[in-house]
Amino acid sequence: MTTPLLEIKDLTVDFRGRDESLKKIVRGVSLTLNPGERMGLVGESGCGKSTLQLAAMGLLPPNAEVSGSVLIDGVDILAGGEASMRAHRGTDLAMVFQGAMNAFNPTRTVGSQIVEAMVVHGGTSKRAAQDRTRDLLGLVGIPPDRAERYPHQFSGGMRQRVALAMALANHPRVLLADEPTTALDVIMQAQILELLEKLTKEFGLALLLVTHDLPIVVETCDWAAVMYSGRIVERGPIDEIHQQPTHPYTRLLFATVPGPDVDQRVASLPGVPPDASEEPPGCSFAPRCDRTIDICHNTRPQPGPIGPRHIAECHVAVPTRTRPAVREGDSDD
Amino acid sequence: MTDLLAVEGLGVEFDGGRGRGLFGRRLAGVRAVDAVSFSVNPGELIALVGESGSGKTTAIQAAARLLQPTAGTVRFQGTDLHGTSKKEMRALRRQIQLIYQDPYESLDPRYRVERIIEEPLRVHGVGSSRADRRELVLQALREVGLSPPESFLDRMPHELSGGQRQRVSIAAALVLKPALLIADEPVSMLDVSVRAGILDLLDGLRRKGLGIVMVTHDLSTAAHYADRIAVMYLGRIVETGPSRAIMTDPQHPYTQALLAAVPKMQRRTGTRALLQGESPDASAMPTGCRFHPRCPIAVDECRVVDPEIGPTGTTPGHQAACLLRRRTPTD
Repeated sequence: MTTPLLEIKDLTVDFRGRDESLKKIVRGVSLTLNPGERMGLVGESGCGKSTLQLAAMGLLPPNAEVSGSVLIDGVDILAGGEASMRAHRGTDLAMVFQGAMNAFNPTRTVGSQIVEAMVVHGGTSKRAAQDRTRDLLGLVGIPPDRAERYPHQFSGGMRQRVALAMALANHPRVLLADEPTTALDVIMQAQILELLEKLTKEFGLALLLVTHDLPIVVETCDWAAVMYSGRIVERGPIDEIHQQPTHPYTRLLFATVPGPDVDQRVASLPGVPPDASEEPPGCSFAPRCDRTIDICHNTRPQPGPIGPRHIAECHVAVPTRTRPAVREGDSDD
Repeated sequence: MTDLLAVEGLGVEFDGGRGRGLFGRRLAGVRAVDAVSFSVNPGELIALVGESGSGKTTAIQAAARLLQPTAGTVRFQGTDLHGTSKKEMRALRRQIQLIYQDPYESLDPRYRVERIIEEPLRVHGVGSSRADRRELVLQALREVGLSPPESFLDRMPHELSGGQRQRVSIAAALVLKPALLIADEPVSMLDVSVRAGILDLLDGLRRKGLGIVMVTHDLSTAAHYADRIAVMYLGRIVETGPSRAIMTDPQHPYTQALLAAVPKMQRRTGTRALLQGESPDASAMPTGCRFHPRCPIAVDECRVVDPEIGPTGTTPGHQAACLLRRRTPTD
């Protein structure tokens, strides 16, 4: 068994309210990612996918209570607190966000901000950082002389490229991308996705891509993880998830995507996702599910194997009596 | 037959001529919309598709007389919208309603749902009593599928999901019983899982005779719900036609590129065939065909000749603005 590059183990995030109430957002999520692999993390808004990424980066506000572990090469980066996190942020894990506009200081040139990202992490002279900035811009398809320009002088798509260059500044090995193309046009989007693919192929970067756009995952990723109400309810190789979705939620999610046949009806998912804090005794998807059996309403399904590295949390897809005892994460090894 | 809405040769120019920049420098006019023509019939859904900056929102704003166009005419049920007095326009406003992309911003956060939907009735003096207006509000809520409607009257916008908010904004548009609905990216801010619900709602309204103009950047949404699609690039309609023809037999290289860039539900082998660069700024309009700098099949002529839109000869009503489009003998 080899140690994966990134392993998230039983990660749980609660937000403590001002009245000391606890809002549960992420409930025991586990996943692994190896160098060069691309995983799409999908689910409706509010399912916890962005929070999961921010927790892995150690970027959640102080009222967030995080438990579980985020291991890079088997070393838990959450264990050492903020000081240890700083050493890993940018170098092991880096992140790009949806609104690339907000990632920059509008009053300084983009080049100086990328240089700063490198100098702050130490170990590099300003001169070397400047050279690398030009290389990075070239890598993401921006003429290096534009380093002297200000953020507002870039279009949305170009700014997302610059954000990507900044994320790559300290040679991260895992890139967390939160809806990086959502604000962009299809053509820009295709360019950014092409670039992300190139980075994973050429540099062995591992990519955890949060998106609500399933076709992007099918087209770009090796793995898919489907989140619902704070949990990963199904994950596995993208071909299996796409062609034989096992969890009813995954199946319904795929049915909401307009297909190539213009006469085919597009489904919508009835109801709204529950608040993860409520934690019903049974499956949290049961109220919206079209395949429930009795057990779904009173017992929470545990992760069960569908195939090698393919797991689903569903009583119907993985009947309890045929379910071997699987600890979360085991079948990933 | 008179079209419900007929837009002819619409042009919108910003800062045209008189505008002065910092230090009194004369600003070049930016032609955001140029020679745009389209029409909508009752019971028809037309989609304007294009990248951001292609002028699609500006075009519909001018079509709804929220902006003064610099060229062209907009006729609504035969009446020239930009030639009517403000008073006449007020009456026509009831007939033309708009909904916007972001239901988080388009609903007043301080008002309850009832007040939000009732507001247009008050403004237009519809309904003689509160009870009257409440009945109309309930009817509108029913129409947009918020049931039981009574349970929504006292809710605040923040208590609603994104899909419900968009339904409330559609209810506020429908309460005046308009003939034309203009929807600017009605689902792009919403979760994928609720998009189809909103689009089905619009589709149902269309079937009842409402004419709809929908602006979207999503070709697949347009393909599934629109009768006709108009593809815009840098302020111009470069291709238009029945949705099926646009999707299965696109004639303009830009439309072809857009379709190629839409992520498909299949694993891709090899790299994406991509248009390089991005659409230029409308203030730096290329010569000749505005698409030529990015066009993979451009010939010398494209640099000088600005192609007019004309029939492709493939499907009736299918038109493209490309010198290299198929030419029919009658063309």
